Amino acid sequence: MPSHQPHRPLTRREMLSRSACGFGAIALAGMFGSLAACSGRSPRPAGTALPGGALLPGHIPRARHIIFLYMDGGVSQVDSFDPKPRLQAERGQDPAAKFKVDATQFNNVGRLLPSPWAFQRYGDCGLEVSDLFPHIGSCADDIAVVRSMVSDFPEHTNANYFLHTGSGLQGRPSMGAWVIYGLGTENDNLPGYVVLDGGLIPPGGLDNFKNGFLPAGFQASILRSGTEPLANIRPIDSIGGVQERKLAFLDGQDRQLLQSLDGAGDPVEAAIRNYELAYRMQSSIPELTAFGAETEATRNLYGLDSPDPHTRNYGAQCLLARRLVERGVRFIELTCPQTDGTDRWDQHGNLKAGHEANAHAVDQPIAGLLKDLKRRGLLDQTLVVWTGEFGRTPFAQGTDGRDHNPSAFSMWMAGGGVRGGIVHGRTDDYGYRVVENPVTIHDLHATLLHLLGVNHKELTFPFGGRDFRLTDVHGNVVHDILA
Amino acid sequence: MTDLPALAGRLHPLLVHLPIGLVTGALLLGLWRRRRPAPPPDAALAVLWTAAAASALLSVGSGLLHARDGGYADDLLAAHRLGGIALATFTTLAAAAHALPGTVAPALRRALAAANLGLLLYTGHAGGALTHGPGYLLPDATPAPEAAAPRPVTVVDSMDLFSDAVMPILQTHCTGCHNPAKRKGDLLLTTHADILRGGRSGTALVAGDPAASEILRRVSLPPGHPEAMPTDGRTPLTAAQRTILQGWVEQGAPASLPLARHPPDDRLRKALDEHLRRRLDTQPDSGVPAAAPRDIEALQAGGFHVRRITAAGPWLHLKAADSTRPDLARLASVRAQLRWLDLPACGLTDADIAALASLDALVRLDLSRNPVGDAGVAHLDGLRHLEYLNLYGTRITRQCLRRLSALPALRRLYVWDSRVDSLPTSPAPRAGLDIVWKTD
Repeated sequence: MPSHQPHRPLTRREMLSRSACGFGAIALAGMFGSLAACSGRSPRPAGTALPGGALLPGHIPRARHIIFLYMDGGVSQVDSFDPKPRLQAERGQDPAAKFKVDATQFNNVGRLLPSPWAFQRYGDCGLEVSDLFPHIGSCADDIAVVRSMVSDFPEHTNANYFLHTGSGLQGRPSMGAWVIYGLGTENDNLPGYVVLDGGLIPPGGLDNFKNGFLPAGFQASILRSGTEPLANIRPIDSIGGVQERKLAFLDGQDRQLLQSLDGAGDPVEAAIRNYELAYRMQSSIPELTAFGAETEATRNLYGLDSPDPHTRNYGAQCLLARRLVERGVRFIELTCPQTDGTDRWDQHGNLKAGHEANAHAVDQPIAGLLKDLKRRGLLDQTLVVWTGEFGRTPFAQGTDGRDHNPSAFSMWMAGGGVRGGIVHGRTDDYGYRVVENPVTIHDLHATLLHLLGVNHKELTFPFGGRDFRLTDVHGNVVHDILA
Repeated sequence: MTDLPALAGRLHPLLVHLPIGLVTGALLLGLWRRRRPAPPPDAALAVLWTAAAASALLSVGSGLLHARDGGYADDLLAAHRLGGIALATFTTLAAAAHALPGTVAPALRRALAAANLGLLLYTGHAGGALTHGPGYLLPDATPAPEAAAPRPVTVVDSMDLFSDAVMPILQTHCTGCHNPAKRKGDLLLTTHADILRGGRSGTALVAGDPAASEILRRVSLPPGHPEAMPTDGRTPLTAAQRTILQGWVEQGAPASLPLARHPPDDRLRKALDEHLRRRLDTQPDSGVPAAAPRDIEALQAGGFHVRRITAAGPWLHLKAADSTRPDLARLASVRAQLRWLDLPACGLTDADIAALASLDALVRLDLSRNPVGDAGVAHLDGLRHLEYLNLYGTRITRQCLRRLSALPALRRLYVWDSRVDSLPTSPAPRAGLDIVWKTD
């Protein structure tokens, strides 16, 4: 674990006294490993200044919650939100004769490949959406599509770190961690930053959701889909008070250890808060996942009655996300369901079947989420973000796949502070490169923070000799899509 | 050549101070003489009352001439005129009573003095209201036309040039005189249509032509110039504010111009930046003090989560803690600071909502999933800054929608899963108000 605290060697006395703790210390170290994911109550009390001096939020927020719908693997833009009729007209021609083709991951460059799906116009705004997403299309007037996203990395792991932490390298704090570090949480009985695991942890692993150099309490808590999202959340001790006495004993031990650590006890502080939060979650989590409280119509809106098990799985995540928003959780990320025989959205081959299976799993649940948030008045204060880590090539990999393309991809946002029914940015006639209003990952992060009432330049943490930001030294707010 | 009647009329604001001083002097001397009576005839009192009567008559004359200039609200002017004439009459009677001792009983003299005191206060107040606006001394019973609370715009590109920049400037510097109650120069600057209509000097502006726009010429004159606006030593517009007005006229003076779609040039952008910074900077000390720590502690004890909306400003966001019935009576202690209030599923009934009626700083209010009906919602009539109202899952009916449409700042109203069976088609809900009833 990286730490900004300078380490000083143990004295002989300390060494002896700590060894006396023996197995207790070993056990504690083990628990850091397994339980650290249950990040607790904000370690920084609300209203206190950050180390850099900023007081947040600095301006009135337009959004209080973010639901980040991560489309693992990279959705093809020309098959989803960026129609390119020219691909149809020049089907099967050599792309190198049309434009300069960059090296791709597999460099198995085939012919120009038009989209197998037709596009329809939706809503008053006439937004063009492919037949992969008829349900999302029905929400067209609420979403702002950005067709000009660019990434720095053409490969999943780095691109995932970049999207989630603002750096292509492993080990930086995730955007969710930055958000609750800056703004705290609205509900002390649930973690402020939650990842709903649909079955696929993205390449790069849990480091996409970690606290990095921020205090340990800011990392994501990962909940599984379904009605048992956390193991062992129901208390075993049935005799009243036993659990409380055990926890009080542990708490006493932890606090003793904390005193002796002399300021270097961030992991212990986080562990103490984890126990406190986990205790409260014994009642808050079963209540959270009590889907029986929802009407049948609502459950069906999310696709919980779908014959497709992956739609049911993702629908349950979306419904859980709404219930988390209602309970004040700030940052919620949904990972994709593991569909049969497809490698998430990463269709290097078998584009039609793969994208169709993935789209079928998420389309109805996402539209259900948007509609349910809207009618409950929650979309007004919740920002929903839909994006992959990069796009795909307009030419084939082999004959029926598409390779990675970081030079252009589409994403969309809806809700809190975003102008619905608009398209921002433009790609060339093939959807291969951005030609107008490029939006970088740093710009996306700056915009998310702006909507939460935070100037991305003020959200800093001192580490390694300088003040770090989620946007490093980059990032411009995309004002054109703001309401 | 000088217009003599007009000149005499413009001396009115000076002359009126003579009867004020002389009548007051006569009244004070009269009081003093009750302890130390002088032998009649009392020359000092007679002189004072006579001078008061003469100055009152002069004031009435100049006032009648001054009223011809126009630009005053008719009802206030009529009250002031009637009061002035009555005062001149009664000071003349008082002067006569003191000049002819023995003809008037002392009790009648005292009654005349009391009548003069009353008339002086009444006429003076009406005159002050004419000059400085009805709300100058005491808050008016009928509130002056109030702008909806400014949108929380924080960056230039999210602004609307007219509603977020031009209107706030006019409201700060111009509408104190150019409003429906005062109508100086017969010019109203309170709405877009009124601005375009112009006043006595003709059109206030020519869309697209700043050089031909009277309003720009007047605000650009050096302070002290007889035609400079704002007049009477009031704060002149800053260069940035003039640039904004000019930029807006150049763009054709539209009622709405979202800058995200119409990027301003560098000069206008710089001016807007300055304007915005000034507004944001002044926000924390917009006159609203931070809530007292003991009030916040009491609210927390009363079942609320309390957060600041911005770290530096006074505005508060209160949310009912889980599964508790919050003590709504305590909200009044932070009524000036309370902007966002979330009370979903708190078991509130119609009677409970009465406690919210006075919370007029509220911008967002969530009452969803409470057994509240139309009678409860009726308590919200005075929430003039309310932009967001969530009533989904309540027992309201279609009947209250018209009433809610009258809330001046309301933009979003949520009524799904209530007893609203359809949305009214006539009259259609107000433009700019988005009613979310169903989403499929």
